[in-house]
Amino acid sequence: MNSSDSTAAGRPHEREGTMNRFVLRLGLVAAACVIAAFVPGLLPNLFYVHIANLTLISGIFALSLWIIYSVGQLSLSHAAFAGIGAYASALLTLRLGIPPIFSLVIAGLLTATVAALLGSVILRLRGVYFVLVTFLVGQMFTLVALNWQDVTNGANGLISISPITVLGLNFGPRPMFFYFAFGMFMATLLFTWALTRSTFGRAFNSIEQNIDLAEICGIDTARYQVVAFTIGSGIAGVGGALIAHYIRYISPDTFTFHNSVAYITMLVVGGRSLFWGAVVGAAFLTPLPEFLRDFEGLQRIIYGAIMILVLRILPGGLISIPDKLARLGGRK
Amino acid sequence: MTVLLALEGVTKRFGGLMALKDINFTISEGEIIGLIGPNGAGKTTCFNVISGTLPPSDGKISFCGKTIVGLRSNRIIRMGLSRTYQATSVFPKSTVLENVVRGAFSRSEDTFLGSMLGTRASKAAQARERDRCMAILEQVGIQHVYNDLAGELPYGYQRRLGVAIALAGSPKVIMMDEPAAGLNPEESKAMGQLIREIHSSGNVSVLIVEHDMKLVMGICHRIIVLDHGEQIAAGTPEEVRNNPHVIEAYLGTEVVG
Repeated sequence: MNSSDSTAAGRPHEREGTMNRFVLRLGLVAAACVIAAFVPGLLPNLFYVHIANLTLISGIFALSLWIIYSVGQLSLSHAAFAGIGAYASALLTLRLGIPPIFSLVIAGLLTATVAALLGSVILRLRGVYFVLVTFLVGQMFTLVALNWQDVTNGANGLISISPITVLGLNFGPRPMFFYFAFGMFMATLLFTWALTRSTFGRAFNSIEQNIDLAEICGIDTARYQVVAFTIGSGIAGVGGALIAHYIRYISPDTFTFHNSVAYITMLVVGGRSLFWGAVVGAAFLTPLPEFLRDFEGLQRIIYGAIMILVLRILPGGLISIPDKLARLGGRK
Repeated sequence: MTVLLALEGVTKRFGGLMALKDINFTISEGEIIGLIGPNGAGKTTCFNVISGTLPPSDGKISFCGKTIVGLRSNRIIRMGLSRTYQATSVFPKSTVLENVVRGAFSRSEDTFLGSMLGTRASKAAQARERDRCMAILEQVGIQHVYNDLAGELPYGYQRRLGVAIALAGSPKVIMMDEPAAGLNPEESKAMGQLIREIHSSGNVSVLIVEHDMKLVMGICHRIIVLDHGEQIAAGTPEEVRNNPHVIEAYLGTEVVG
């Protein structure tokens, strides 16, 4: 065997562990795909399929916001970037007749470019200052979308945006769109996971934990923050474009400050420490209001109470439940 | 001996306050230089100006013959001029070994795409990096806690980890800001021993700011003394110890009846 086996204690176990973990991950992805294949057929009606679709798109937004959060920055302009992607993709199909499957990609790249330009200016700020500036970016988007009549059609929004079709397959109907959204969601999930273990992920996490030390480790903290912001916002742009081609109608109201806050809430409730906290948060919070619909009038109060409870009992988010249970068990 | 770091007429103003005034000194290959002075003398400011955290108001700083004024810290560090902080500075939520690996970030052979796809080449590069970093941990004497979270280490170990992180970048010059601050006399002595070992084993030049005179006098080849931002003395420990300006700065003037 090579020399590296003898150095640190426990190294051979680690290697065996990575192999098992790889098989486990592959199994999880396969299981998710198999389950997903049956989901549209098993759900009682189209309304539930619609909720499932929205949940998947929320998952994409929350994951992409997590990428930005992983350099320690909280963006309140996430919905704005989703909006830029949505308007770009919708206009490309409506005005230029570009097929949605291509306009989706172009919209993502365009949004990423805008984010890169903006990010290189505003990412000098940290903490509340960054949050405030991104809030203003969100407001600016809303104002532009409302007032640039010729392009955005103002408050009336854009209607009859064509659905996504690939090789003759029409992903317009809800059960069909589910498969497309699921594919996009899984792609985002796997990309985010791969990103966290890459050299970029190491740089991002170093910046989040201790930006001054990261800089003297030779990490170009300014550049990597822009990279994270660009990737995250670019994915949000694709997510926004997905909404445009799914709902087939967008307006300035589709991508407001409240949406940005909702994505942050997903991160916090799901758990910010690991990327799949974003997924858990999206899966928990997107359908929640719908299930509370029976309690008419009390709906929002119960929603708020659940949020407070989660944050009070689980400051680490829902993904900290196993740890919390283990600690409770240990105390006995 | 080739000159590695050279400061020429370096000045730093904060508004009307002269934090550094016309500082001139050089560090050559294989030297240990001490930077001392009373509190507020400008020692840490001097470090920050050299490492690119603060821009100098005036003067020239060159490293290995290239001017480094205006470069960002990460660039200067990648050229081989590393530093540690006065307070403990680690990545608290990562393991000790991971901390050191991050210190070697800029010299890692791992690539973005390789690490993203988890290729064999990337894994091999990471394994080599870990082995090298384990050796550094061994050098600073904390290899037995390599798998603990850095934030949970005792204070003395965190200081050593800070040195290990700086060493991981394979620096030519390492600047240490009060490496013995907050350490007891025994730990302080061990830190002095460690600095000497680093210097002798890796042919690394060291610039240290330190208040522990026993440590400074014991390990430094040359000492530079600052007071109110001015360089009031420079020379061997013996010369500095007997310099009247230095005694005045530390003890005040003697009033003779």
